[in-house]
Amino acid sequence: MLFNSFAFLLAFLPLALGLHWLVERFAPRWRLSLLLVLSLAFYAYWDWRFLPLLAGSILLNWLIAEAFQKTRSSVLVTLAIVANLAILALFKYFNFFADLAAMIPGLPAPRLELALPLGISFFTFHHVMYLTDLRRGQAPHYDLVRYGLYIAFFPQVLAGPLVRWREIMHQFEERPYLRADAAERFARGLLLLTAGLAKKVLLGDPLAEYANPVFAAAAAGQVVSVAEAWQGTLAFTFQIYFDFSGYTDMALGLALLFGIVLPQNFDVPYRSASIQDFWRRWHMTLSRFLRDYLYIALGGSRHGLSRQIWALFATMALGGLWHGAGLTFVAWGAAHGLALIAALLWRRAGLPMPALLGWLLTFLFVTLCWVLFRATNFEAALAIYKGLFGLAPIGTGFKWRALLPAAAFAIIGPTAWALVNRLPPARWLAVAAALLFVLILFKIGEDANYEFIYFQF
Amino acid sequence: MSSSISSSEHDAASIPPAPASAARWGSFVRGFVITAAAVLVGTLALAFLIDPYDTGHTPLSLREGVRPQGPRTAAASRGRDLAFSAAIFGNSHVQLLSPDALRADTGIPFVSLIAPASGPKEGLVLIDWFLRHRREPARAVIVGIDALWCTANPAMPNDKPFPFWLYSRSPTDYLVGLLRFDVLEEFQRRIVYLLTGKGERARRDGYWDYEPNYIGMGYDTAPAKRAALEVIGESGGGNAKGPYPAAQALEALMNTAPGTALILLRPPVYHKVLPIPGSADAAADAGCRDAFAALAARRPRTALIDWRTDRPELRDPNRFFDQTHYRQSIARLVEADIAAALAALR
Repeated sequence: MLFNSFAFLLAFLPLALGLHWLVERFAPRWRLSLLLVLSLAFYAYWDWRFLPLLAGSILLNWLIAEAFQKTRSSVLVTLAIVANLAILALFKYFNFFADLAAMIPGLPAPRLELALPLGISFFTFHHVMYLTDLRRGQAPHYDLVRYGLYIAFFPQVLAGPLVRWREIMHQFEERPYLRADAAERFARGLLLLTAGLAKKVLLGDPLAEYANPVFAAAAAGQVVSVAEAWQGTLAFTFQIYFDFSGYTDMALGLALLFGIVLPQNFDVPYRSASIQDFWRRWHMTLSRFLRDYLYIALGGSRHGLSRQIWALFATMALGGLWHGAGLTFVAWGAAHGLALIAALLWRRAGLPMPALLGWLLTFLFVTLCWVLFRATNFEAALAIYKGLFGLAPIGTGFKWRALLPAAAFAIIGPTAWALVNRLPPARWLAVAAALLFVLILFKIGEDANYEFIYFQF
Repeated sequence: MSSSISSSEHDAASIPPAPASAARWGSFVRGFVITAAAVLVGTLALAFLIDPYDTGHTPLSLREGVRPQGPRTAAASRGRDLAFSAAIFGNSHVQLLSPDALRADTGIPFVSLIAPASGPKEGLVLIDWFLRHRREPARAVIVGIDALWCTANPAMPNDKPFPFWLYSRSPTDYLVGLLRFDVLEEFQRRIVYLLTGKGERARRDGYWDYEPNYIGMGYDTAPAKRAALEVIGESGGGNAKGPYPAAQALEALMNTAPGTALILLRPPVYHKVLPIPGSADAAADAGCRDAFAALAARRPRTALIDWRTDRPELRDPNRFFDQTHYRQSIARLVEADIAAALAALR
């Protein structure tokens, strides 16, 4: 179920919190089991047919970790990682590679019509992180309930953040509601949930109405005017930020309600003064994963400049592919890889970059790249680029009203996480946040209620 | 490693304990939960009482009718209006049928409960709403059966948003449906309408003449729009073999009102989109027509009026704005056919 749905906010969440409180208070040894059952129920609500996949992947990976404990055979772990990636490839990339193969004359390219299980990209990476650290001797072995909860914890299972085992496992052992700051955590969780909902529903969703028709027109082969292209591209630039960072805020807030602190994922990325700064602030837990489990494995920065350039490019191109099974996503990732390489060479050459110019160039580059990310194919992206670069009629009717507050919040900030951590326990604030929460509930009730963009990845 | 794709490391459990006491934070949580619950329940209760769309759910006795608004929501009030004992259902393809003209021709008071750009799913919901709010059995129901009613999809998916919650038989659906921003926006206008008793009331019979709008957009004169009228197209619905779940659902629904006359109207279209004999479009058109003709044959007091046949009026471009939206002169002819059919059913 969506976090921004009545089923979740008015039924699942109150029920889950009530059960969790009861168990935490009267039968704490069942707390983790309850959280696991709630998480599996949450996942199954989307489509119960995918539950065996999630449960099976938890069980198999746990059994392999168990076997590794006894045999110390790292081949087992390697095979498990390969199997996890193979399952991800089967569901997400089979048709992508089949289509690529079909470009070679004479090569048979069967297609497989499989629905993409939600969250598979995220829980696959969780398995990979744990298994890699297990093989390195850094991660201990956990029982099935703890491992299952690490993978399936419902605030994070569908779209992250990507949590390292060492960030969360020790928290499972706590009695969260016995902590001195239990009420504060719960309150800040409520505030984060409300802030995330507000970002998604009040700022992100209205921008979809600016962006969707423009990209739909481009996909339909229509000419996109300059005004439309900039409207659609800027709208999507801010929509995806509020959509995804709003989701993360909700995930962090929800986890706090259950006494778990998850890592933050965004840090005012559109204020970045360079492209590497952007990737330190955007989808931070993915950047961290790519750095630690891909970039370094590909050689990182310790084997000379040419190897580093290759590692950067490959990491970003694969990061692009992770977002979606399409060449436009690969191009998006590759473009970011090239920009990171250019920035690396620029720094190495000792060339200056004034902060304001750096911000402008970074923002423009990131914005232009979102076209590749959002467009359904290269032809559609080209139609948008023609508009952006003035190779189309000027057009009229540039919509900007929803863009202004979005741009102000996104660029000036602060992040919801930072803001919520600064707020005092004032009664007026509780009342104001509650009013905002109710207002959002009424907005959620409207017919135009959008899913999260990152659910498709 | 290079810092290029590195990210800040955050100690996951780094939320700093605030200096404020646990008691103050506990009070904060209680304040949030109590306020949210009270405001939510209070607002919903108020919405239920003022009955923003005059559905009759409220226990209060309020001024009848609603302020002028779109037919999708206004139909809730119109469909309950006991001044009418017959109704027209469908979309813009039957929008020009005038309740006044039909009343003059038949002596039956008609209300128009059409919803533009709607299909069978919406139509069936509105027919059910109308039928279940009669004290006496309805005298007649006219349904515009266009190509959307020929779908083979049993879900009969709707294309445009429609407030199904407003017409639901489930009180829970209605209560959850009230939880929407549109209702909040309606509060002030509704209260003014109810308390002052002076606010303008939506037209009771639901009739809305689209001619001025089409003329304003140049559909009667603009060369490109006139040329578009002459493009050959298809309108058979694309379902030659069935099933026709909309026909089945309509029959089941109308069987709950056996005494009500039912007119199934296949609305006029410009001759350029009439099926070409022998084509797949013609087969689909015939399949769908036969399904509704069979319904008309099976059910007492039911007639099918088929305007999707090649006749001189459908070849006159001056009687059409576009290929499926005719002008008043055609509407008068259709109304006459309906009146004749109803007279024959008595």
